[in-house]
Amino acid sequence: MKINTLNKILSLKKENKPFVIIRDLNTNIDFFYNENNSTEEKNFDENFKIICIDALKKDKSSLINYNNKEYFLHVYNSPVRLIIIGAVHIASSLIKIARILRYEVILIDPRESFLNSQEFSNIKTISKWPDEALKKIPIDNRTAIITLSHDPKLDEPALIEALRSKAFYIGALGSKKTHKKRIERLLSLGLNEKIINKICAPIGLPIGSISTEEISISIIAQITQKLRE
Amino acid sequence: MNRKEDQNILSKAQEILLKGSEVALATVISTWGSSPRPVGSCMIIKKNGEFHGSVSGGCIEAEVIENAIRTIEDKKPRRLDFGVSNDKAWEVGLACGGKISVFIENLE
Repeated sequence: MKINTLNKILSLKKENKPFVIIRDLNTNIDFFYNENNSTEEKNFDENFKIICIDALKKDKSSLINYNNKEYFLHVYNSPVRLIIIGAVHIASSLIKIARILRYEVILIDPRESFLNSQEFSNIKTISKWPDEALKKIPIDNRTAIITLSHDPKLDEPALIEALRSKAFYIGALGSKKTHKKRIERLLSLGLNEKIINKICAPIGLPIGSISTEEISISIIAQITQKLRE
Repeated sequence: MNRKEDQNILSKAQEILLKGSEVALATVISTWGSSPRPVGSCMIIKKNGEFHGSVSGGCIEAEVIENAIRTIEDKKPRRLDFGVSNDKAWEVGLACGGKISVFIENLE
């Protein structure tokens, strides 16, 4: 690999936008694909572009054959973004695990005193009403949104906003009973059942979690499952 | 893809190059069956054998390092295939039964 390629990878990564390097390993010639910047490589046509878009979507690097030439497509996706509503106790263990997975975490809670807890001192926090805050964050198909506050006043406007978005995962903490009531309220607000069903609730994979740490593991496991499905 | 982890490895490679040392890059370019690290995982190796990152669960690293040092010396890229069908399966085969292809090249 030429040092120019290495430098370009590092500078593109700083921008935090997804891209693919298309590498001809036999000639050591590399070119790049990203959303706004198509490449000058003559072999790169519409079909090749579709292959790159698909690789980004699947988050999968691979060797491909194109026009009788072999290329290695190396996918550099943006990190998974995890938006948490509710700076409550469980958020802190969830954030710890999310950090191991290198997620970009954003914590939203209008109660500033909750956000000021030491445990949330080194992540991005937004002290606004969740729906208002969510409207200002670009939510793409690598974003997961979860509500933890237990308070319908905070959780539900966030869920409604989340259901309108491209988020790949939407989860809501609360028992089956709580969720049943939540569904009734969302239905009465005019949302249809099919859309409401996109909410994972009770949140997390059913592994019999009891402690907040165990519940956090079950939530992250479910997010991983949705991300990779 | 473990983007930030690989970024750290590549930043490290840039650092080494800026210091004037030679460094090789090994990248998993293809896998079949179960394999511990996904395609795209990489590792950098210095001439003295010092390395950062990983391309497997530890099963093939030694072989990759040895070949990377050769690549630094003869400036020739290499492609290594590991797996049960490999001649070297007894030495460096993947315990998980998978197969893996690693591309080794100089950063120049």
